[in-house]
Amino acid sequence: MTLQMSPSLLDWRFVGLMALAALLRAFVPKRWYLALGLSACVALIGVSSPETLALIGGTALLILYPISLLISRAKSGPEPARAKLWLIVGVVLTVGLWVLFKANKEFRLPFLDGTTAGAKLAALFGFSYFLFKAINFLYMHYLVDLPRRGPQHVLYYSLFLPTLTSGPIQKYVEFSKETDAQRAVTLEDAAQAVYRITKGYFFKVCLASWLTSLSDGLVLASNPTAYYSLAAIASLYLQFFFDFAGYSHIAIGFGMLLGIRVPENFRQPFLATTIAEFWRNWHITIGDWFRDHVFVPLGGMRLGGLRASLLAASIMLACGLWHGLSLPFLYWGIWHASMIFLDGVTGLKPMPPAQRQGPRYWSRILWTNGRIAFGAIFFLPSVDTIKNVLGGFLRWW
Amino acid sequence: MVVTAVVIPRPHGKEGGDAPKDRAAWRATQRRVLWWSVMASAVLWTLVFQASKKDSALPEFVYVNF
Repeated sequence: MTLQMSPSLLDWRFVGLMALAALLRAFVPKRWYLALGLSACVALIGVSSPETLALIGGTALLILYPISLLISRAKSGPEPARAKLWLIVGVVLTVGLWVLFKANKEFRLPFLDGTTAGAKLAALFGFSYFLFKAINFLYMHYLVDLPRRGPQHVLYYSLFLPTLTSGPIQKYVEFSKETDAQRAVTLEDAAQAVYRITKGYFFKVCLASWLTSLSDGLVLASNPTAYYSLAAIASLYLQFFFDFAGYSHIAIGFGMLLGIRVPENFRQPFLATTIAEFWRNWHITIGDWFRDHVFVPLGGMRLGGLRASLLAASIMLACGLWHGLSLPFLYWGIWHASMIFLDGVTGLKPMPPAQRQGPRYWSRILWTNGRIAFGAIFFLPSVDTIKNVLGGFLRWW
Repeated sequence: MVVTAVVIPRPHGKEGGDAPKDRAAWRATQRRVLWWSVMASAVLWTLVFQASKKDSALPEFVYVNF
């Protein structure tokens, strides 16, 4: 039997049951924390979205765990080069599953169209976020000698409820440290958690929802003027911030209640003076992930100015397509790739703290935020709506 | 501030409740409780009163299943 409940921090029944699981921690010995946390995750995801449990849990147990063992064995064996081969196999398998998931969502794949498997794949939650965690798990096993742990650790890491559907993306090593700490929740932690959760719901329920209604009206206005379009872009930008930052606050708060410190995802992004600085402060964990798993391994800043900028631009393009295999997300990727490349080739650097005042500082903030905000229109659901908003800039009076 | 003063009594006694850092910490806690009350009330108001209106449903959450 499946309850009509989604494994989302916006489903009140789901949130209530998760709070109950957090409360249960107060009544069990510390050595049971991992087992209790994992059982709660498995049970709650199992009743709300069995397909999510099957695919994410199955990938963790049948792909990630065995391949991590093979990587560790190969590293200490006579042929250490095999470890890289196993890493590639693991990454290709998980990315392949993700491509299938995304392609099934965006296009009608002939072999899945109308089938139960296709419908179940479309109903999955959080697989894109899981992809980042899965690659981090394999890469960390390849890069450093991690202590051997049972499959329950990777399963808990993959299915950890607060961050399942929308991050923040926690690194495996950090998550393991948190579970090893077997942290009991103090009254101070609980107060802090309640504050963060309330703030998160305030951002989402009050501010993001109100901004959604506002931007819906603005983007659908017929024959909008430039002022309408500017207002639409500004409201979309703020809506995304409050929506996503709100979700991160809720996830961090629930993480605290479950004894796991989840990393911060936002750090005053509106005060950024370059596009790269903005991405270091907005959705911080995804930026860190791309830096550690793509940018640095492919050469990073060692490549030199132009090539490093091209690499950063390619990452932005990939990031756009990660959101969805559709034209608007491709445009979003191209827009951000161009802007990060522009900053790179013009040598625009983040302003040092001592210079962060006066008109020059505020104009840099406006220039950065203006370009980021403009990119928000590519998150609109259809190309026609995007054209409608852009058309407004042709009518200034 | 009356509510927060009741919830979090000002520190007194041997710990030096009147030291500047204690006063600053107490004020910071008061501010947090006040903000929390405002945010919690706004969320509750949005959920309960808006949802109870016949002609207005809650605006849908922006939620993209990635």
